[in-house]
Amino acid sequence: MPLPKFPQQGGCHCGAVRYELTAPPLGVYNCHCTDCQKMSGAAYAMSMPVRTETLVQLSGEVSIFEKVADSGRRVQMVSCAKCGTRMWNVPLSSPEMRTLRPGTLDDFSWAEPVGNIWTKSRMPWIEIDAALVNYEGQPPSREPLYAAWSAKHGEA
Amino acid sequence: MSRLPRFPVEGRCLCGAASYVLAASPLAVYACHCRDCQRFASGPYAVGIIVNRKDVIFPQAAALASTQRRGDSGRIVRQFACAQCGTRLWHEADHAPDTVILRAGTLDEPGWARPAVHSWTRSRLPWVDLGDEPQFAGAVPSRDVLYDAWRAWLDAGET
Repeated sequence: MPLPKFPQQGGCHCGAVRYELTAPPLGVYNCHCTDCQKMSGAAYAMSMPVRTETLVQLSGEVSIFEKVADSGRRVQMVSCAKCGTRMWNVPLSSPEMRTLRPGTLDDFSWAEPVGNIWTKSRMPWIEIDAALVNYEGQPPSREPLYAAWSAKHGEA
Repeated sequence: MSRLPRFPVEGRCLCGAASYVLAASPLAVYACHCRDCQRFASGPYAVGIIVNRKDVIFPQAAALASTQRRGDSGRIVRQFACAQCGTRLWHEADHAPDTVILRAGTLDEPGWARPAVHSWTRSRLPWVDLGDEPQFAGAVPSRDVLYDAWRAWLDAGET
């Protein structure tokens, strides 16, 4: 599916927090880590790294929960203060990046993932498409995922 | 080989402050592709485990935050999350007071919780393969459809 026109908008369930993504993301992938399984309540979550300056909060109040990832890095998870929908992460080690949760976009049907990470903890009934860019654990770099996204959609 | 784990099983939120015990086999496991579930999950669907309320030992109320929403079906649903980290653990609805729906990803060992039915596929993501399981464009017509499909999946594992 081709990329939509930007900006694209999204928000939480109750509508208090609205945001705008002003430019295409660097990539989209599925994360099968157990934290994403817990937070999503599902088999895996989709992740969409974007440049910090392209994610603009338009309204509402957010609450922040900070967690320490397996790597030891600190990540802030940003949710609507009212309804609790998680919308993006702030990786404190990479302040120039945000990890948007694309399910919170008003339309994310264009965001087909180009890869999978943490496949070693995937649900046994989930099949991983071997043609994608896949990692058993944390990728040493996300560049190959970004390259696959660029190859499909052009440079961000 | 049984497709079920040995019960009781446990689940918990991301930070560990809120945990629960499921003491007996669930009534059904299904995937919901409605926009609400996609938004909360940030994925193509959420996986729900329908269980009898009496089979669950819930976290203390003080560890929980609850919110109410109206589902795509129009029904009022109450959701329960960890008050600290915000992980949603289960939801419940007035029209089915004897059951609650656990969020499968919150189980400590969720691998057995394979959806037997897909609901709200009219908003499914086009690239997600749903397999051969029964699919419904909107809400599942009755809980019995879910229970029967889950039972059939379990029975197939016994042969």
